[in-house]
Amino acid sequence: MDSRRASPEASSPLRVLMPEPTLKVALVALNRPGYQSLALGYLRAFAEADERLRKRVGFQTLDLTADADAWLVAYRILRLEPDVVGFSVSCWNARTIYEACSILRKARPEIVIVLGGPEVGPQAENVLGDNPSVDLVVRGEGEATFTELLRALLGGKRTWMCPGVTGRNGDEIVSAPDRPLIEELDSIPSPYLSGVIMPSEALSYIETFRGCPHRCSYCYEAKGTSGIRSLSRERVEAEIEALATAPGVRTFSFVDSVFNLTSERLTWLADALEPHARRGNRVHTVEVDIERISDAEAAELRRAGVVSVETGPQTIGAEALATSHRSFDADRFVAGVEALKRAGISVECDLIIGLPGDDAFDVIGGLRWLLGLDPGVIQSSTLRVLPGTDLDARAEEIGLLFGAEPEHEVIQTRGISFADIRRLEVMALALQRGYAARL
Amino acid sequence: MMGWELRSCLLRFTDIMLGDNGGTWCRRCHGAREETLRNPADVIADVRAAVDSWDAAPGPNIALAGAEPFRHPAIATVVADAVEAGAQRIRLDSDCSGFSSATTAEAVIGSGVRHVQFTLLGSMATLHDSLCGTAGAFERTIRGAKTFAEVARASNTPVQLSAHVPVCRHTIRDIAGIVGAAATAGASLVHLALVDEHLAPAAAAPWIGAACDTGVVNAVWVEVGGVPFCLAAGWELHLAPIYRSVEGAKAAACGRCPLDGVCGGAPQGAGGAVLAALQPPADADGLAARISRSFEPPAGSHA
Repeated sequence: MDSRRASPEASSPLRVLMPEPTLKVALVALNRPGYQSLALGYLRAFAEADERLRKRVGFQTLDLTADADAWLVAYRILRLEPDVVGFSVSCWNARTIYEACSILRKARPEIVIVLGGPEVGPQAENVLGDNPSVDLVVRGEGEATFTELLRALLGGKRTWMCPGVTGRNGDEIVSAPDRPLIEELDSIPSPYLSGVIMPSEALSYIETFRGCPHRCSYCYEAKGTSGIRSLSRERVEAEIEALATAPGVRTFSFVDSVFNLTSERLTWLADALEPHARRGNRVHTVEVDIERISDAEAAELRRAGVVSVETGPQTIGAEALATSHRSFDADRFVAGVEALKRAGISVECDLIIGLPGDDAFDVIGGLRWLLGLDPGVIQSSTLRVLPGTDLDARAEEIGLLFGAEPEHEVIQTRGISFADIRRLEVMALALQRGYAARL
Repeated sequence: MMGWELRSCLLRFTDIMLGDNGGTWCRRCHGAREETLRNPADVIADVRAAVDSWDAAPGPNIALAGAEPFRHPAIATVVADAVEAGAQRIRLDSDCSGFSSATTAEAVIGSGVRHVQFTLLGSMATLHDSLCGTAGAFERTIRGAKTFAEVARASNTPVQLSAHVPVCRHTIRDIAGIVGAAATAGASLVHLALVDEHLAPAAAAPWIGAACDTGVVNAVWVEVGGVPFCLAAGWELHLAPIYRSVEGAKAAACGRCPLDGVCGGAPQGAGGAVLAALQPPADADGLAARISRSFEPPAGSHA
């Protein structure tokens, strides 16, 4: 990739006034309305802090909605006239993004198209093979890789040699070695504290650690790594302060896979959040390990201003639990829900339809059991077999059929037929509506 | 009415009778009936008793049925009393004509009603109106249901619309269309109840199966009461007993089989020809075990 392709201005008369090539970068995410992508915020904050990119790279972030039409996505991007466009790709927006890439490539052949995110990283070579419009895929954690990639583009270097990147060398698709994870997460500037993301009501999220203590076979949260990497307490407290005191923001949340990771951690989070909770700030929909929630932990959550939590059990079927590498203790689960209800915290319980090992009656049994528990919110979803997950790797072995294209929805399992999965989806939806319709 | 559990299978509601002989029914099966209304004090006493005796989450849930709620002079008081007593879900079983104005729908939702169930006998006005004996009834029901749903959506209030469909000789060939009409009106749940002892379940089963499929492709769940498991091969998940235990409810007309604990069995009054057609499914033992499992709390949980 030479700098002429990366910088269309290079051939213009202005070239003589610019001693070095520059890049205009558009970062694009498709999510729910109003949400500002935290992942892109991190990417941009990290790159903007890089000395070698400073004053040479300009960023624009486009947070569009997941239901946006690919042509309009392309339109919005092309209006920015970027040299590089980076997409954050998840299973729910991948099809639209692939189509938008195809349009962009035809409209502006010189544009550099980079994809990253959980949908593409684990299958980077396949994505490039299937999508000739895409130049590069960033695998795994993106901040350092994307920054180095931009440096390479500016310097006219071979981008596909950057660790963590899969790209094209002529007609060949090549993957550079993996990039080690960032050990010190504080080295990634905060998107909130750096002004990259402006906090907005109920749509802003704080990350306090990366990784997950669990290894659920359908989930990509742990990203094939072990261990938890935390941001410092000072950094988290500063972000809490920034969100809680932002104009118009009364509620925000956390993206952590387990908000109550340890009791000590929950206590210091409550300490940090309590002053804001006293002034009316609220924390919504944090994910918790509910089987560890006692009355004391529920009180800590309440002290932190938490008004709602999200949790499993995903399934109560013994075989599916084993296949999913999940543990489930019904007594402790019930105790956790009851403790939260006593503390006045709404509990959303999630079930997954189509987990290998479950049959239709396990799913129905799970819904019936949750109804009896009366947690506040019951939410079901159909299994998506995400790239890079254990289920993806073992699909053939366990007889799991799913869509090759995103969103990779389960088609059928050994335990549940195609038709029964569709039936269960509709039945669960009716049940959820009926359950939610109450005083 | 036959001896099956015909009420909603997903959420349990206790019926509170506002009167008798009300609602929408097939006049070709049952002829004309005179609706009578109960004394408000008696209704309120029943509401309080139902709420006080409610013994299992989620609830208490009550359905105001038996007469058209909008014709009951004390309906507002009854609903207010149910709210005060602690009812969590209040359902009106209504022809929805009272929701012809958005103002009324707003008031009803504001009073605490979150569930409305209407009855359809046909997928279009000519069929429904002729069977229920009231010109214009179909349009009023569909329009009222839509208004209720729109008002709820506008106020961001979660509600559920459901449809009750009595399956008899006169409605059987139209029930797939009725499910489609219910979906258009905004229902997310349809109860098909086989209520005609002169309608052979074996003959009705294919029509009911098609209606269930119509529901699936329209994102409407169709639950079926009154059909034994042995006639529902391939669409067993739609049978109401899977969702609510009907142990002991099996009709005597049907012989013993492994599904006794979960199946409603053959219709009462079924003749020899009907009974001869009923054979337990090939995997009746396994099916019974799997269904029963869904009624048990998961291992390690408290009862």
